[in-house]
Amino acid sequence: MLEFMLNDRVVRTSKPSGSLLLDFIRYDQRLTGTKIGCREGDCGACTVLMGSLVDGRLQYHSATSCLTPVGNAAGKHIVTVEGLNMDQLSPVQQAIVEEGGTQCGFCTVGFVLSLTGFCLQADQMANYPAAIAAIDGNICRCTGYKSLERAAARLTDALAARPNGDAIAWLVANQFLPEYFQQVPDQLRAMQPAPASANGKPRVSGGTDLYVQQHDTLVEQEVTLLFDRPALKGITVEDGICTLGAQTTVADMLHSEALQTMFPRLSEHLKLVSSTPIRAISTLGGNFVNASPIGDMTAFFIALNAQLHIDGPNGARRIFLKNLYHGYKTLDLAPDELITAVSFAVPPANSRFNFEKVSKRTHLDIASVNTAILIFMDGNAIAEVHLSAGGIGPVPTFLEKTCAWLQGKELIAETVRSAAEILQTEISPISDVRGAAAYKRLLLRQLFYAHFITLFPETINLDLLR
Amino acid sequence: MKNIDSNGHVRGTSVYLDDIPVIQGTLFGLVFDAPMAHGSIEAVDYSKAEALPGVVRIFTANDIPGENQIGGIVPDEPLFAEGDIHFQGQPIALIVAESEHIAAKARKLIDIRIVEKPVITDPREAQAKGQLIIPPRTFRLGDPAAQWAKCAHVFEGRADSNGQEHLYIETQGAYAVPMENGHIKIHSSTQGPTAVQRTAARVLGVPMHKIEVDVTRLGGGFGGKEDQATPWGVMAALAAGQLKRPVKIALHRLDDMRMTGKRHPYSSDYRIGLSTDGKILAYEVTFYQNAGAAADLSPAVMERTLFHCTNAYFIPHVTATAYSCRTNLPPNTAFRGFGGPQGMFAIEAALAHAAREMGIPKHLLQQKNLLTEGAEFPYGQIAEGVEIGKIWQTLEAKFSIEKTEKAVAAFNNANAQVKKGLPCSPFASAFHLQKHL
Ligand SMILES: Cc1cc2nc3c(=O)[nH]c(=O)nc-3n(C[C@H](O)[C@H](O)[C@H](O)COP(=O)(O)OP(=O)(O)OC[C@H]3O[C@@H](n4cnc5c(N)ncnc54)[C@H](O)[C@@H]3O)c2cc1C
Ligand code: FES
Ligand code: FES
Repeated sequence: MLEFMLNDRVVRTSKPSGSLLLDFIRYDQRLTGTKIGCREGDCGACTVLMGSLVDGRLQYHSATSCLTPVGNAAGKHIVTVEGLNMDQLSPVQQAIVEEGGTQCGFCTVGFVLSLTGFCLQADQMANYPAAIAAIDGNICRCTGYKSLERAAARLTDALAARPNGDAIAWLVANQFLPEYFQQVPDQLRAMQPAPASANGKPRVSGGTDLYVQQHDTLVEQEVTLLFDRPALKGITVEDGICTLGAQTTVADMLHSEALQTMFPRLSEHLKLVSSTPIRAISTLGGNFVNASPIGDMTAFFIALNAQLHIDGPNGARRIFLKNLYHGYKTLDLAPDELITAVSFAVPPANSRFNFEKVSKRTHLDIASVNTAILIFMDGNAIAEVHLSAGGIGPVPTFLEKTCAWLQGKELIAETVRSAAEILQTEISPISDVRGAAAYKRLLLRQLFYAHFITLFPETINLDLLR
Repeated sequence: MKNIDSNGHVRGTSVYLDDIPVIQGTLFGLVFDAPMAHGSIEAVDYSKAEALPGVVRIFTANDIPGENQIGGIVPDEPLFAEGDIHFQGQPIALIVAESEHIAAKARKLIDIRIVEKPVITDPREAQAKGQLIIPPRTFRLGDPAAQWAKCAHVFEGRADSNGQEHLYIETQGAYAVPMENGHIKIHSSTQGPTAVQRTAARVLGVPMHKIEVDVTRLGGGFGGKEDQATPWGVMAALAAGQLKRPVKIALHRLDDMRMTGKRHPYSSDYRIGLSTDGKILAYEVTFYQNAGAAADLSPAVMERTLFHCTNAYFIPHVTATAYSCRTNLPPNTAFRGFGGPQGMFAIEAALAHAAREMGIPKHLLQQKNLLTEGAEFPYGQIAEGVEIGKIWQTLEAKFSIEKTEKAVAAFNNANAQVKKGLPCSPFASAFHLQKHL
């Protein structure tokens, strides 16, 4: 029996843990404000808020209910539009109405939820870019977005008075949220702890890959839930080693102060990965094991020369992430082995890191080509390089030859140009919907150049590389 | 302007097709469609699918009491394919089951054998092979052929514009409920309730008054639900009528994208002649419209392309010819602009070509040739109350194209990796002119 709060009340269900939160909301509870546009995480019509207690404080994020197993709702507060409605329109609803941000209305509830999620982000500045970022997972085909952008701007102004810290009290007082939100923490505390899920198969984390691929079989099953296991969460730095639990989400990374310090442009990198509601539920373990040739986090961590901590019936072992892949979707990981964490040496002061991605759309799209690089410098010489790329072969790839060749070379344009030629010898892109093979080769060369132009603007620029 | 439904929309209380409370005993329909673009069906084995518990019945062309025909303008499109399939995603059967989930499983159990035939996706190839939906049409004004010798500049080229998915966020769907006395009520997410009603009556072989169509609202349409909402409504009605139970069909996004048509891709040849001072003297254009496998609304879309072929310009000598070409794509259909943008794209491409070759900014050519009072369109309409020149001047005073272009050039000089451009185009809508035709 799964138990969670759905809007203002506690609900229990004996549905299989692998069935979808969206179907539970719409068809079991008949809360039809939450819509279905794609069932693939792409449109945002099914957006809900998920709240849980983190260090005693209630925190919410938006999520696509179409990819969320109902098991991942256990012990949490799920908010749909019905749980936001009050006698008066909330300022979020009001802003959308007044700015003409709704036409056919089918996408609208998703926007209401995402923007309410933005209002709830107490630790973040309530600025306009953050409001726009909050709706990066919502598609509207009618309005052309300008009216929704004006609504977002209006909200940003309205939130200027919101204090940091306990946003909920202020949001309730200002009629952004109904009263009952104040009681949610106590109700969550009183709730049964989520039952330990069966240790059978299949294992589901955030579900953002699995439900796109195997929707029909998963929804009828009890699944092994990984997402909320405390042992698989958390980001720590100890003795120069940064360790992330395998079920760390992309959003967890984005919010980690330790990682922000290590990677000053982290938010720039990670905003290229999926969308706000997907980042909140997509995990590193999922990204690595899904083994997509264009997995962004995989490319990111290969360049950090990261190690995987693997646990299984035959004990624990560690491997480099770059060695996880034997071939297309074949892994050095037994079915009963679990990745528990990923770790890497904190990049020292003489190193620089960059991540680049090009996709058909800037946001919410899978890469045509992605690449990451970590370079250690010794004066003007390149001491060591870790370069990865995706979309240029059957697996996310560590570009060994290029790295080896660059070692010890002087950092001048000629070096970068020559390395780009070596790069071409160790990739084998294919033509597909994301681009022709020749285009991907060209892309990777340009992105390789972009690494150096971005990291060493004082020595390398595009003109020198031409 | 406020949308009167805004409050319901932001509160999530507006009722779309899939939100209609489900009546007890409702069954769910899922379409089994062609797995390839062209071929003849040798055999379909439904036995395994039919044997799956929860599958109630599978409807095919054989179960249609009336006509297996849904074509609105040209009767060239069956509801369910018989014999030959003409596009990937073409409906062959409707699986009706206790749940959508069961129907989805059943669909995987259907075996089909198809002998493949050559596939045409290029409208020019279709035209060359005589695969036309309707005979070509030509609009003529003056005599371009006699002008070329007098033109200081003549440019020829080709302009291609591609398709576009409607992506209404609410997918296609219908919910049919059997009523008293053999009547059927169809809730449909359609832009054309009459089309659903008329076609359902035709397929079911009943008079129109026996079919009631109710449309509360649509979660977007953009033309995609003008003609193409019809098949789902008709299928649901067919099944509901025979099974005497309500039947709902709400397409999965991937089924919707595969089975429905898009904006028409066009490939066009143009020839434009201008005087030394940039006046357009003559224009010849041939449009190859990629209609897909059946007519749908393509003939009407094609006509609108011709109406818009000179956009907001006056050209004294014009020949515009359009071919509606039958290919093995899903039948393309209405989409915001209804063929107009494709017509305008060709003349704008021709003007861009001329501007580039003549070394004059395109906006000067555009402005010089704007419609004037009393000007004649290639289809005989005389323009009255023409405001476009004034509109252009007002906007020019407000935004200054030249100043903006300079700013763009400066930006592009300063930025190696990011570049900007400035599009600029007038637009004449011919919708209000139709009464003159
Ligand atoms: C709309 C959308 C946009 C997306 N955009 C991007 C993008 O921009 N870039 C990108 O890289 N990806 C993208 N993805 C893909 C996906 O979100 C990521 O790959 C994500 O990291 C998967 O994590 P998950 O927790 O959802 O995995 P799940 O789907 O839950 O699991 C995937 C696989 O990993 C296994 N697994 C998970 N954790 C472990 C573990 N600890 N040990 C062993 N096996 C494990 C599961 O059993 C399963 O086989 C997108 C997906 C969607 C739906
Ligand atoms: S239904 Fe489109 S994101 Fe969930
Ligand atoms: S209002 Fe129609 S999709 Fe946004």
